[in-house]
Amino acid sequence: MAQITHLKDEEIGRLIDGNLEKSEREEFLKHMSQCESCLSIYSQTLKFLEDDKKNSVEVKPPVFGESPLLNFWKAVQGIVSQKKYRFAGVALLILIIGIPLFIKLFSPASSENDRVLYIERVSDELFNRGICTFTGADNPYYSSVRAGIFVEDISVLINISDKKDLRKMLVDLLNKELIILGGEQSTLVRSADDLETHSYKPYLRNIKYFLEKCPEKDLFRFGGILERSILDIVNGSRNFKDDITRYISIFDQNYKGKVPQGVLKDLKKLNSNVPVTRVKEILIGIKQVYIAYY
Amino acid sequence: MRGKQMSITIDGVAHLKNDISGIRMVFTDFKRLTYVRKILARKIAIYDPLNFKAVYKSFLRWLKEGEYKAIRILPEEQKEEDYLNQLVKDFLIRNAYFVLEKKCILYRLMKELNISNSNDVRLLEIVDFISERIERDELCRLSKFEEKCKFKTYLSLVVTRLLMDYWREKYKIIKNITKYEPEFSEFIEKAQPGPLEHFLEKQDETIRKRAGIFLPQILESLDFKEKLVIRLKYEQDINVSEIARTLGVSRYKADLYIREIEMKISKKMVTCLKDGGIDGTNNAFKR
Repeated sequence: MAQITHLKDEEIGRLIDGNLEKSEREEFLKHMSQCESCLSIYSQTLKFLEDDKKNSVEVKPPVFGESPLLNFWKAVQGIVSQKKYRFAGVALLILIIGIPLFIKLFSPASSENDRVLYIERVSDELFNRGICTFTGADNPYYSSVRAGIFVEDISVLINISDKKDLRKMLVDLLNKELIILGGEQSTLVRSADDLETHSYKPYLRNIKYFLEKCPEKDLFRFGGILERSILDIVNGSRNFKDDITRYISIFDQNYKGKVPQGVLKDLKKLNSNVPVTRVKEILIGIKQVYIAYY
Repeated sequence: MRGKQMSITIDGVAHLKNDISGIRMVFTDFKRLTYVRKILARKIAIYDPLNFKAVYKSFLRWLKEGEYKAIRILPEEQKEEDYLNQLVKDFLIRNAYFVLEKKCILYRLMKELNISNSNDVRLLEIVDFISERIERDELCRLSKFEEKCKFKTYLSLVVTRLLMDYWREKYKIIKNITKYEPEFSEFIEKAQPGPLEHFLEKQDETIRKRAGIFLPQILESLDFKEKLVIRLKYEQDINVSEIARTLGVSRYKADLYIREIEMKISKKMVTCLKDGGIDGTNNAFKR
């Protein structure tokens, strides 16, 4: 039986992209008219790409005449070119840029929003990617760090009334760590439904007291500092260097082999002068090591 | 390879010792950077939607963070230009994959299977199947990409093949039926009606029966392009724009061409039905 030579992926790809000579096209089309498999692969892929292209088309300005935006810009240029209006124009520009910046820098509400948005995003990711299963690992070192992270997150959300579901999600995550650290019967484990807004502070306080007495208290505190540092950077401020130096020496002395090498290496990088965007990446990278462990 | 001296052949730069500062110097060297920039600029269009500036910075950062390990393992017998080309290509493939992954796998499947919940277990099973096979052995499957078409097109083709493999595996007639099997049955589309069915459904019972004898033969008598176009339109449910893209012509021309073929089929059918007579023989084909 004669073997059919199917079209390779790149040949079909070139046909879809239109990147081939006329003779090649004829040859490929001839093959597809006889080969069910290649035809099927071609048509399914083409449908997807066409559909995707349609959904990502940008809205262009009208074809006839110039766009209104272009006319507006020309009018602005005309005004600004006159000296008498230049000063007013510059003052207006400063106000337009300066006011939102001022609000962003000095408004506590907007910086709080940034932190809450960050926590929301990460928690959603943990749940949506099914990473809840990471707590199947019976590892007190990782659990302590994660407990520190979640306690910090919950404390940020205590006074924000419309984030009840998010608080509940974090309490569920924290409970899983507490079971590893304190056992199934631990009195620290509380159902999120039982917690009222006013009972969050004592609940977190009890957890902190308990974990401060555990052998892995330094890891618990490290988790809290790590999360606080990330939230501070999200907030625009930066306040971690002394703590990081201290933790590097604690890990070197007491946790050799129990803290991943990558984490130590990243912490040491933070001691040097790195730009803020890089600092954020490194901290989030360290956090990922702990919350993505299986 | 570690500990060996690395010789640079481009621009006759002298031998460098295999130390980090030496290697760092290689990459802060203006000519070397220009060479990397040129490779990237040449390839970036293939890896849409990656952005040249962002990728260039990211590439240099990746090299630095690995403490130039990628350069230290340069095989002696390989030309440095080829090695750099390969390094940049692998980097681009990796980045482009992670940018396109969700769109080309998850969102595509959600749309094709009409599932709105991205956490649907059936959906996740298929996504895991596809992702695992792509990501196996450090994107081994994607590293076969030869840059002859766009990366997004190539990735979409790989996903299509893997999806077909998945359905093939799922519906093997064997004893092992997964617990999701009944729940997947709704995703299996019923076979699309072919051109024969489309043409015949408009006719009455008697004509349909007679036409049923002639139509497959009429379709076989078409040339390969005409046959392909009819199959694309009626079997694969491809629209006119996509058919135009396949043929490499404008939409208008494709539309005209399709109408011509349909007219040709109809005319032949009328001739067959007239000449065939009441008993519906296929004498018309003896002409």
